[in-house]
Amino acid sequence: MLTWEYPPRIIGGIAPHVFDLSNALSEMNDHVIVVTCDFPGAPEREQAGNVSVHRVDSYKAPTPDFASWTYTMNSNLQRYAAEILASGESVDLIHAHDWLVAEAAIGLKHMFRIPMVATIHSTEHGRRNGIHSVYQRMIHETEIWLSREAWRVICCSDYMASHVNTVLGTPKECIETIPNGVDTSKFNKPFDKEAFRRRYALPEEKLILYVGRMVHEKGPGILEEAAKMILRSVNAKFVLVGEGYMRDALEKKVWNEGLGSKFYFTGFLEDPEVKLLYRTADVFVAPSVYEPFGIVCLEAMAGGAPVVVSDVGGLGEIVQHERNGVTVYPNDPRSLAWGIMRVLDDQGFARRIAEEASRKVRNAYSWKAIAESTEKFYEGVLSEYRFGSWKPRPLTK
Amino acid sequence: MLTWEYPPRIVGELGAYVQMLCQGLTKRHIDTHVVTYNEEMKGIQREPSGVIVHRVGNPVPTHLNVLTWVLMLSVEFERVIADIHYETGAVDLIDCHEWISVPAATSLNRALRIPYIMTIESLEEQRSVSPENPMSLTIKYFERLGTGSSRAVIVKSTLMKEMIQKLHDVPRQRIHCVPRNRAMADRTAKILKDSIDGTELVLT
Repeated sequence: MLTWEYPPRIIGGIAPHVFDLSNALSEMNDHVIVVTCDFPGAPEREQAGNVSVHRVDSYKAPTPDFASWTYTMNSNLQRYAAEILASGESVDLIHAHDWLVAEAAIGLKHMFRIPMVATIHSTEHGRRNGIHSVYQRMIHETEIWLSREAWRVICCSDYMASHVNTVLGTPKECIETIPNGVDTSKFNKPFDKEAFRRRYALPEEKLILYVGRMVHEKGPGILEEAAKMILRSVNAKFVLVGEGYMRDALEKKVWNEGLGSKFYFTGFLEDPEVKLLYRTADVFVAPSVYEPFGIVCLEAMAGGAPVVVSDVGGLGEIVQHERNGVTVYPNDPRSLAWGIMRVLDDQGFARRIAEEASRKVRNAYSWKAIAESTEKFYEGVLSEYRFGSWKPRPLTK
Repeated sequence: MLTWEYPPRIVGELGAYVQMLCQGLTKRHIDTHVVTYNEEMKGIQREPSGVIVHRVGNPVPTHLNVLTWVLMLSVEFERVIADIHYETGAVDLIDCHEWISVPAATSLNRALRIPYIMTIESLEEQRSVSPENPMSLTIKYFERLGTGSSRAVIVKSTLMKEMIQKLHDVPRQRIHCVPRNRAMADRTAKILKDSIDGTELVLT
């Protein structure tokens, strides 16, 4: 596995995805080598079951921009991984996660003539709602290059598979949908719910939870607009977990509008804290305008929170309206306010959809099931590879 | 030979020098492949001298700066050299020209255990007006990486030799000054052969 983030280095959804997938594969007796960026305090080498983690010097000196750093980091990642492979580690397949490791993965594929597969978690086109700059075009073309070089591509939802087909031009036959998963056992630890809740909201306030990056595509601005409508009739605290370029402006806005005391911008929170918040919230909200999968929604469902989500991308595949959650129109604060009120107004309804959601997560999104699908996907690629002629040739010297 | 310029694509002095050197090495019965960049002439060409030239394009057309351009191009260099390696039965040595070739040469060195030497025309310290800016720092990082694990470093002047020794801590005996004259192919061939054990070379 090649990934630019792996716990404790968590930037987005790739880190928990690769962590859980690697460990689930390990439990099926697959040997997984994770090569990733280093992180302060994290060991350079780590062994957990059949998962070997190698954290590589990711290049610390200043670079002109994030993309230049990414490609320089890839060069280091590639050299390190090459050393592992050349030292005799038997590796059947390289699994790359997103454009952030494209350069390393493609080079390794050709140098060792090992099949490479890629999970496209999201696309630049989707994240930016189109391609609007040279910077974005370069990343977009890197994504096209990765998906073209990959033996096959994994997407986490049917929506994403269709998006990758349309935007990156990857043939449908080369794309497999394997969903993301949730480890439900992490939501069972006992805790004092009332005491925990008091840290985020007053007892008389409804706790409305948002978890995600504070960026346009995740829709925190839409939630802020919806909040103004909700607060006219409901006493609530909006708890927004996450960092991003929109955070400062949003915080300023709610204070200017006199709603500062009804919002709590927590910034980044550790994973166990977020899991307890899911178990405490009266309603969880995912107002995304672009969402390839929606892992936070799945986690909220696993934690027992009733969910209100935009009917976009992967969210629309996870949540069935009025059955295991509420779906609302994307980019529509009024619709979002309606969905949140629908849950807050009817305790019985909220309990029923939350129970159904919890059941669905346990049955359809367990990492065991996902690891089994992924292993089957790997086997398919390897059997094609075995019958082909593209392989390393014995050297004559 | 791993070089970002080779005739007919001429940017500076490097292209003509590499061509002359390759012709000289081929005359001395060293099988020489050139892997270079040329978007308009992609493919393999055998020159009348016997030098085989592999021209590749950049897999990502749009770039922000020379660094992103180089690092994407490097992956194509890796692909083509790996192909030569498997087709010929093994590449014995890579002559890596300038920092631009370092990412590919160092990865191929780790992956396929192909040793390399590095030839330096000029250093970022000399070229850049602000050598401490992020771009220059990254280029210097690759220069240092390249000189650090190369079997030998070839330069064209004693001044350059002293600079590399000072800037990148390369032991003096590993740096060879080969002036650009008639004897350069002979001297380079000797350095190449001394850099590996065998004498029948396949050079990229």
